[in-house]
Amino acid sequence: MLRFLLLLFFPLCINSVSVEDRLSNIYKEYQAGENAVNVGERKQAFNRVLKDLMELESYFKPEFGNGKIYFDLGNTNFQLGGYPMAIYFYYKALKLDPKNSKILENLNLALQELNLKPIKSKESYFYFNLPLTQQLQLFFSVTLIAFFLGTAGLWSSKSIYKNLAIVSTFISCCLLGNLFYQKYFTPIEGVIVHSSTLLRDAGSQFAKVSVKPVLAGTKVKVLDYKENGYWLKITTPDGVVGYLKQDNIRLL
Amino acid sequence: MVKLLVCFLCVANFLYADVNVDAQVDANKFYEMQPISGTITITHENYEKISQDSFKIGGKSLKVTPVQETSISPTSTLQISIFKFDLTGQTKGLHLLPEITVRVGNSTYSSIPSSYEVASTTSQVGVTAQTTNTNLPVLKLEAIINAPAKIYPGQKFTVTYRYTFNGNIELQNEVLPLLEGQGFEKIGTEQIKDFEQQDWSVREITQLLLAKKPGDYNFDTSKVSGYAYQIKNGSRLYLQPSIQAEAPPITLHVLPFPSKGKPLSFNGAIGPFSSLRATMLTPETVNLGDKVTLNVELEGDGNLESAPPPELCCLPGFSGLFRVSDLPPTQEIKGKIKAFAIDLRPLSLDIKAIPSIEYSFFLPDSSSYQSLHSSELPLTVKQSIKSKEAPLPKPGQGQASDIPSFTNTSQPIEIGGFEQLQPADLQNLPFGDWRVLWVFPFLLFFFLLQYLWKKMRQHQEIVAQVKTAEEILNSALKLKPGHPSFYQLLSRAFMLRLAEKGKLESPDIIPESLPKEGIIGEVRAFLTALDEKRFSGQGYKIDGTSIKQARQLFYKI
Repeated sequence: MLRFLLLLFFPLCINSVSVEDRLSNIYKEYQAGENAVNVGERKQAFNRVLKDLMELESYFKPEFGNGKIYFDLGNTNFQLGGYPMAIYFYYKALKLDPKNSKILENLNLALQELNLKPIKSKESYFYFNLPLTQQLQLFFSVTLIAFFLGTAGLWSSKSIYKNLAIVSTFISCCLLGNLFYQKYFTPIEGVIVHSSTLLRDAGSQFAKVSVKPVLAGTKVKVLDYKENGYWLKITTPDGVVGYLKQDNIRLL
Repeated sequence: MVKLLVCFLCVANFLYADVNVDAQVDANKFYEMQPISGTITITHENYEKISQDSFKIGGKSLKVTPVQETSISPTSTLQISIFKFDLTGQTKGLHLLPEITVRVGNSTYSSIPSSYEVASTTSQVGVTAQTTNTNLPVLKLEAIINAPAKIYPGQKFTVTYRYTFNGNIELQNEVLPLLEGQGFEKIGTEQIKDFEQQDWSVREITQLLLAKKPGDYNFDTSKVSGYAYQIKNGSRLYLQPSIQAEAPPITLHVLPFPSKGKPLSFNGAIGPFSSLRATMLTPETVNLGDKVTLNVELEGDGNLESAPPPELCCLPGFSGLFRVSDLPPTQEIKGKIKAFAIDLRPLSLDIKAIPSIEYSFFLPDSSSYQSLHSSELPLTVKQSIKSKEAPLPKPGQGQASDIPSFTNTSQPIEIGGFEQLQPADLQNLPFGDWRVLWVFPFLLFFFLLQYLWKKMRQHQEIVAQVKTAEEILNSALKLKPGHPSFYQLLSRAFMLRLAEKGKLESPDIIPESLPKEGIIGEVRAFLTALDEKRFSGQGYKIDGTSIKQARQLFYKI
């Protein structure tokens, strides 16, 4: 039996060890890039780091994680001069860890490189300061508590359980409503990664909305899409609305 | 009827035929002895191959030249293939272009014959005089390479084709591989020069090429062919036969740079150059990490256009002490001087000067290398307020290499905070994704299940409390006849029994309401008798006979 269990868990252990080694190598490569003596070495090191991080990100897809990998991706892109992509990854990291001042600081540095306005940290109520993952965890916990209290109130004659169950169910419903609103009614946001002019409609033949393009690194809201998502209708922070190709934007 | 059938078959064949051959001459009118050129257009399925050797005109083989193959549309399998052909000149009159047959796939198809006109020239005598002229048309082709004896990568040279001819010639075909310059880089476009040399007309076509890589480059035979013609009354009179000229094949050797004596700083520059000067375009005193711009000027008769900038990152005195910009330096050529503007940043407070820059180049004539050095430029590096010094060990005494080695870690340039990731950082947080929303309906469902289960149990308990009629009878008979509940229990037992046996719809009926007939009547009579005794004031006693009677009547139901 013990042998069977070992055989079962051995591959898992190996897999875990190889990921750790890989992460350790990534860190060393990043440091090597920072300490490189010439540009060629620096670029090579950071490009290796970027490649490994992208592979890990696409394999594990930690979009509901703690955001550290996105922060590292942002830093690596920054070091390589890819400021729009750095900004994109910093926003992704900030979404998962909104109170992290380091992410905000680096994001503002990247925005500065592209001559864009820096952003300020939002001060809001406790709940809305939480990242989405923690809001979901909170909802889960409250719903579970409501269930157990409801069960206790159902089988027990004590009214305190019933009252607490009602309160916790009410809170759970409020959290559920807020999460539903976030998922289905708040607009999708994105970051422009290639400066692009906005067009009046979905097609290259249409006129430009304005002469000035939307600069790379700008955070925009996506309102609609056409041609199976090839063209996206967006609105800029200035309120300008127009269409651009989906290649020029990365969705958060 | 037969005619109709034949017509139908022809139309059907035409409609369903997927190969169409069309042959036309290129002009409506030709002149006597002018070569007849034409075009064959074949529409066919792309999987059906055309046999180029199968073209025939009037039963005789026809030589064709493929021109183009194109698809009708991206979604269609139909393809159009175009071929050119030439026929010999004809005498004046109306001529017929016979049908041209060709094999496409496994079948042979033919074009529809068409007619064309051949016009005569106005003066037959003039033509006769030309043909008796002893100056027959002559065409000569020469390929000339204007290059140094030894060609090295980065060197330029010209290739020239010289056509020498008398009279007028219309060229039909030119194969000039040197002008393509396979393996070389073409600089600019072809230059064409026409001039007369005694009785000859000369045309020179020149192309400038740049050697890129060492190796042997073979160019096949160069060929040109065409027809001589004369101008008669504004139109051309072509002479037969066609004339051709060839130039022999050529092999160009591009030699590699010799490895003997090659300096480390050599990066492909071809000399000779006479001087190298470096000047600062920024102040001599800078803060640590600030940008310093150097203007490096290279002067000489060498190949300035292909001269690369000096690689400062690898030169002694620069490596580890300066960070060179990753953007390529700007370059400008003025006369015999090429200037490079190079950006770099000092990384140490120990820097006192920008070291001498070494620039090496190759001399093709002597197959040797030479190096030029610029002078040192004083530079003072101060501590900036924000930046921290990156401590570097000074070059030790007795080290074989001039390049200082260092093992410290320099500070990151602009941002920091790279997090060393753990495997847990790659995972999603537990219960932190959208699937958690499903918990609500599931738990609600389980809660409702529990609620229903509880209701069901309560109902079962209620049902379990209901006793049968027999149990009530036994309970009643256990009591003493004077017990207050005796009569009610007994009456209830009989009513319930009647209801259980289907004699009554409901047990909730008073005995006086029962019918008098049948077993129900007997029950009524029994209960009424008991009731009379109860209310008679005598008190009633039910002895064993009455109990037995009650049991008998009960089980009789």
